[in-house]
Amino acid sequence: MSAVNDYKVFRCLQCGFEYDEAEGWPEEDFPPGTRWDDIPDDWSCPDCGAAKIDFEMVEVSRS
Amino acid sequence: MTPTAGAVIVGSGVAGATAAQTLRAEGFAGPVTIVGGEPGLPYRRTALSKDLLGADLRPDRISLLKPAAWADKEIEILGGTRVLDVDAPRRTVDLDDGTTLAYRVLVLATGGQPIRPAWLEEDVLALRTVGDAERIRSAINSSGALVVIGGGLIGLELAASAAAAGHAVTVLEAADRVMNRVVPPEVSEFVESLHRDNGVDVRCGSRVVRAGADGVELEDGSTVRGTVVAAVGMAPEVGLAAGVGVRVSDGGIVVDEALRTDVSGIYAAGDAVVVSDPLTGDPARCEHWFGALDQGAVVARSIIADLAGEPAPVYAEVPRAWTVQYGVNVQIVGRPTAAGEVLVDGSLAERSATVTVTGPGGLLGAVTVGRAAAARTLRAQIAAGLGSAV
Repeated sequence: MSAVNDYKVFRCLQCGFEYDEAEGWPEEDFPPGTRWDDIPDDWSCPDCGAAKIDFEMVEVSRS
Repeated sequence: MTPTAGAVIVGSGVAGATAAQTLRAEGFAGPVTIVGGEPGLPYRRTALSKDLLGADLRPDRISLLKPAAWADKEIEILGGTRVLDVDAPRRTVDLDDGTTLAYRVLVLATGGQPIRPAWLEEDVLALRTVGDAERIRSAINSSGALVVIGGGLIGLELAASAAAAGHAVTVLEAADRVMNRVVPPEVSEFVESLHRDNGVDVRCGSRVVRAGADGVELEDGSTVRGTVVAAVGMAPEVGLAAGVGVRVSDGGIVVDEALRTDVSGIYAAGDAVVVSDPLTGDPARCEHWFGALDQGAVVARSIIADLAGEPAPVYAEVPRAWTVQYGVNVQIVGRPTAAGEVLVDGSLAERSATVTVTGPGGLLGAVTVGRAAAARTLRAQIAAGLGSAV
């Protein structure tokens, strides 16, 4: 699945939680493939409660 | 009980705030009121210690929800307000602003206070609230030196933040290694070396005789100067519970597996509560963000179930905590200090490792270094072994 390769991962700078666009976050009804930009600005880190702006994009290698 | 009696939650930390939100999410119909001793809205307490010197602690950056969101959920927050008295038979709460609230259910999420040993003078700072954080930051910035008493999670986070900001830092730990209550020796050694590499003077086996705001005297006669911060643990806030006649032990407010106290209509959650550790059966207090978060949700579900006359879910706590020091993320799940076989996968020196502790019955606990995402899976693995969901 080469289309997966452009999905990005965003990491919470406060606690390390990672949001992976490829996997989404089904617990809060963000299906796999949900882009970071499509997540509401008032969403907060599921683990520590930090704001969306406390996340940064991270480079990951996918096998 | 008046017709307007709803849920009254004492404490605006994450346990109380989560209990209120979960009550609403699960359809609780009556009024929901949070009475908080601290002024303002519920906030992320973890933001206070993780990088205190660099943190932006303005309310809009650390609030759990924006003011309008609480209003949308019809959750009333009475900040800077204290409960004077609870009348359990009449189900009313008297507040220090002169009002009386009627309740159908009362949740005691009263948290805790930093422990202050007898050798600690009154002016020594300790971290619990955003007000404490601002005072500590200001004092370190003006003295340029920090002396932390206690090499636990909060003490070491303060040390890392101050060292990274260029201040002289000393950590005085009474035990023979840092973080001894939460991680196995292999991880303590790694964390200690991380601090030494960053210029921190870590002194294990230190016996403090006297501590004032600007210096500490040790048993060996030496003194250490700098802004002193005591980080030697927290004591649960149980005064209100005891006053109501709720059963309280040395560990905290005693609750059953659904977080009910022994007084009808009164529940408790968070740092103030002592539960039975599902792994060891010993009394345990959560004292971490995730435990308080989980207990807030569980207590709300227990209330909903009890009001409907249905069986309440059983709570089996699997601890999880995290710390970030010098940019290294460390996650702690389960009981990694329990006796068992310690295995290190990866390399602590290279800051990418998973340390597991396994007993005869399976995984007891784990610590990940630089592998934050793995902690969630490990916690679920421990929970599955206990037959509970997290």
